[in-house]
Amino acid sequence: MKKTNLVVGGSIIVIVFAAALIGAIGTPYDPTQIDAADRLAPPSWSHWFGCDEWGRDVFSRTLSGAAITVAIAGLTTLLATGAGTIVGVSAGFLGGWLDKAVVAVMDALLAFPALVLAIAMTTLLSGASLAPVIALSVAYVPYVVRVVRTGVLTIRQADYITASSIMGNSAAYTLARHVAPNVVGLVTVISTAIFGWALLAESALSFLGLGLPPPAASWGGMLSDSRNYFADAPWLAVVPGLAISFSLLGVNLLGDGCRDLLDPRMERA
Amino acid sequence: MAPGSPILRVDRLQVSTLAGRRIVDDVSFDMLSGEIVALVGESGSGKTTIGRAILRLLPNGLACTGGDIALRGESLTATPPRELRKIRGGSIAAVFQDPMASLNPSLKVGRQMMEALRLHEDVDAHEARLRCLAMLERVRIENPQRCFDDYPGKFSGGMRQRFMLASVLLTHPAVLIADEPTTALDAIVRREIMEQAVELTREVGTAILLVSHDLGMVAQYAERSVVLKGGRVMDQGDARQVLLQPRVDYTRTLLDAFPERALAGGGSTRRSPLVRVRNIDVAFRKSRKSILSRKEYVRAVRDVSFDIRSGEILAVVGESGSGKSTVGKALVDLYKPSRGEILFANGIERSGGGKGGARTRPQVQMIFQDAGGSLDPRMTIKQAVAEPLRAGGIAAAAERLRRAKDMLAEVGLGDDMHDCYPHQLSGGQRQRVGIARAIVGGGDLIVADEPVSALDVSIQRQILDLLKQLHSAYGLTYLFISHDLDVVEELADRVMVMQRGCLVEIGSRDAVFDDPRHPYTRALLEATPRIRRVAPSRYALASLTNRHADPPSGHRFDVPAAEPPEHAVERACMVEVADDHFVRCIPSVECGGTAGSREEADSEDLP
Amino acid sequence: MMKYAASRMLLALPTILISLFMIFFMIRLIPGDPAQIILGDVDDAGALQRIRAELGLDKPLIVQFLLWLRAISGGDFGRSIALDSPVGDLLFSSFSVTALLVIPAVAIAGLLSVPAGMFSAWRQNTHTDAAVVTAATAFLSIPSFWLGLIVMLVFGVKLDLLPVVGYVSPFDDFGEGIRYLIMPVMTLALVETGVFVRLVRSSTIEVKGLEYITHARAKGLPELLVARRHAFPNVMGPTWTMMGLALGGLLGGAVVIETVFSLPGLGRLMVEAVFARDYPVIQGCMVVIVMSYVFMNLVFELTAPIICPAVRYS
Repeated sequence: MKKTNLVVGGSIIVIVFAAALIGAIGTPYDPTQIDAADRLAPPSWSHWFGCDEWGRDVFSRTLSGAAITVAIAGLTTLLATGAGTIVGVSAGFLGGWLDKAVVAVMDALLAFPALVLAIAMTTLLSGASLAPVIALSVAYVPYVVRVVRTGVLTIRQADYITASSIMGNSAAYTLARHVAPNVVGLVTVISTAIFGWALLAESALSFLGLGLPPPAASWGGMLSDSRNYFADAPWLAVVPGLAISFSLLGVNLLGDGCRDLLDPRMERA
Repeated sequence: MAPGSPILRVDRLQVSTLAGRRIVDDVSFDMLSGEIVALVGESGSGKTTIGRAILRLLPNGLACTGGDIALRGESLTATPPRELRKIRGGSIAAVFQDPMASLNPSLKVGRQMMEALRLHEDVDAHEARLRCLAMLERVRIENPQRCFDDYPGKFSGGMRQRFMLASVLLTHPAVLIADEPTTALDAIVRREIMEQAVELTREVGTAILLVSHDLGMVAQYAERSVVLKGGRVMDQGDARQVLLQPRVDYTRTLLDAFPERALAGGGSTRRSPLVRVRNIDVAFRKSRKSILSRKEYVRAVRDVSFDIRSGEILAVVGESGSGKSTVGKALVDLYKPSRGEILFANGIERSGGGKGGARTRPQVQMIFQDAGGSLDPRMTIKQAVAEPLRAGGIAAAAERLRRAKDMLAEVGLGDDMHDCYPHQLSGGQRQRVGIARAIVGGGDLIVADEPVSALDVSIQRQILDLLKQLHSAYGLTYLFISHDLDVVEELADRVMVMQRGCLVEIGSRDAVFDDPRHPYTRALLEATPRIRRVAPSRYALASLTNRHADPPSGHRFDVPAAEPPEHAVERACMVEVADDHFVRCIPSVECGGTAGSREEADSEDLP
Repeated sequence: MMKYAASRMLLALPTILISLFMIFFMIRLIPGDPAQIILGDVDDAGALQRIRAELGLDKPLIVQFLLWLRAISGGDFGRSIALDSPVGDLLFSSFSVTALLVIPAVAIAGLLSVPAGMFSAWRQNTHTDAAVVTAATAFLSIPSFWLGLIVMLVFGVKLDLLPVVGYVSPFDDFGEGIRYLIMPVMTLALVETGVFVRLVRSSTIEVKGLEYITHARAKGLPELLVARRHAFPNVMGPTWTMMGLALGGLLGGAVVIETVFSLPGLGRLMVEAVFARDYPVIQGCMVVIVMSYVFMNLVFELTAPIICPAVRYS
């Protein structure tokens, strides 16, 4: 019972990653191949999820979209968590004016809703192939910094940090040996959350037309295009929507599972 | 109901977990009207569970699986919830351990007080208010009106426990379940609250079920007592008889585990000082309410001077907030004194204000109250004990681990445990690890901050024995910080008493315990019921022997001010009242005696 | 209390200044002449000269920033390149649309989620609890733009109950305005409910285990009163602050819903400005978004002690 979230969420994420891998290696059809004969073809044995307004295979585009979305969300998570952890740990542990400056800048960044910041960033980065990744990373770094810094401040109060300083250990040693290993759990939880947010935000950016440029397949873009046809070809709206929801569900369950493991208080009988 | 028949009867009560494990097993006892009955036992004895079972507020996962609880002859186990709610707070009231947690921070004190009263009796708001105010006055709350209309947030633990007591007694309950009601409080407040509780319940005719681990307090206040172990009744009867002339083995082992003063009087020999602490002040910046208010400082330690002599156990006693822990932390260099100096025998000096001396740490080690919290959860205990050796300059990891394993074996932790993580160990075992880590590096001075106060009596006994054994085996010096006078009486060679950041009395253990002079020391000793062995298997409550203490001639005792003006001139000084026994005094005649007496204190033991 | 409020406002000042500086600096990061960027693709030497003077481009960066601050504090956000009207007017009209969407949505989400979350927590580890948590997690996992499309498909297209896209201001025609707002508000409310329910539930679980709750029961209070009088204010403490954050964030971040339902809100204005490279509008939108976020936080932080007196002492 206690690990249901972890198992179900983990399985969903494995499926999504597998889909992304297939999408990257090779799909049944070329996801960008236009075929006028199959225009808006409903789901069938040859096209499991039907075809879109250009006659492109939706199943192949979904897999290919998975590859793009997972890659962007994954890179964003790595970048944001990596940078955020370094900044958060140093600010929290060293304190002083560095900490004050970091907090002030992060508070200012947090005043922008992440999506707004990402949208604004895309105008600066227009054209760059990694634009969504950089824009989203900048938007999420402050969240990581805040969580990690608070965690480090809590750990710094712990008696075992006091004990380490009484032993005569240097600050650098204490940081590496006692503080860092104990923020790992926290970083895991926040990085799961960031992956979910980034996945959703990437879809939102593509939905708004600010993601990777067409003809690249992306779930948000597919959903956006489907709006013109959703009376005639509802599968065009259903498939990418389900793909996003399914992935997010997996991430959310996995996140809950991680938190339950780290904070057993919440699920105490 | 016939006179003399029990007001509350617990009959073969059984409480089990859902898995079927019995937490309370066949427990029976009666309570007469107005009587104080104590449930005593160590943690895991089921005493709290019995209290909750009577209220029928068992935590999730526990259920009453047998037996009966009857109030005035009527069974409570079958009462429907609606009827039960009439009884709760009406006939049966409860006070719990943690006063900081049992008042709702979002409701005004008065509102919470009136709640039960208005629920159980037909009174209007005005009358309820008047009755609450009267009751607050009865528990000696100074400004009842103001407290009544305020949120609990700003009050101390003692005040809150008074609010609780006042509010539960408003409905004149037949039974009051008091679950460790004073455990979280300091000795003097504890005594005041217990005395008030006894006095008030006598008046109202309420019977108290006192759930406690504190045998001294039970012997002092309870009429009858039920000794529990593992959910079973070991013995019950007249409280003093059960506890002071134990009939059963379990009570005997419990009492044998009690700290006891060794016959050889400690501290009489004068040894050379290892550390000399001179006039230190430690100040903290108050957390500001808003960025607009000005910076304020609290002087947690005020002008304290003392010596720690080589090889002795010097105990520091005092209430929470007395600055005793701060002194310890200044010695391990966690806090820098803002004034004064700490001089070590090897010539290393830590002066106030300066940043120097940071490299002197390894020779002073510390044992923490919360051993679990002092161990990194991600290190095995073997690694934890090996760690100080790294900073101590032992380069080879294999050598460090070998020494760590030897040390662990010495504190009684076998090979099979060396790869455990702290959370896999019991509280006592964790404290053994903490001790091993403090000693392994060969430090001379060990600062032990309440090392046994989180432990049950029997575990506490083992840790105390271990501390004593290591003390003599390694020739260590301890600064032993504790609020527990029993433990201090057993262990200490000398005792220093702190109040409000100041040292008020220092002397040999026998002098401080048998001939206390300062009014605060006396109040502390009077407030703490201590059980003492008088003959094999016969115990008595210790009481102060000297009835009255006169200040030394030309002086009067000085009680430190709670919040002295920032730049107040300290006129008090430590005066030697007997050999090696100093008390805080003020010269009663205005003359130049101050400087002289201070020198007297300072010059002791200087080579 | 006044002192508390004043100090809170002072604390928000650096946040405001730093974020405004970021917005200001963004235009300077775009390669090219800032005056030309603000003017757009117009070849008008006179106008270019005028804007250069207005921006004080020959002066140090900090002076330029202060000049800009003075301008925006007077409501002068420049002129839109694409729409050829003062940015201030555009901001005002689109902000009111967003506010009409977001404020009711957050209010509805709050009213739904507080009872649901508390109820679920009170029944912790039962089937009811599991059902509520599952539903909340599901709503959390459905992207708002997809939920919006489904709602639109069902209520707008299939059932034909409500107008599908577009916007009529309720200030012009109240009944019609409301009809246009129902679907976007409901969509947003459902998504936010998913977030809030989980938060309310976990903070209730924390409060529920505290001693004063057991004590309230020991006084003989019925469960409903224990929950309402003793748990509710303490649960509301964290919830209230979080609702403030959500509200502040959504005032700028409702861009996706606004796009789905074609509402002329602030987010929509900003995205269209991004496509049109209409920098004065982008800048203006971001200023309004940041200011409304900081302001909402301040309002909720200052009102928190009224909802939950305990926060005064923490």
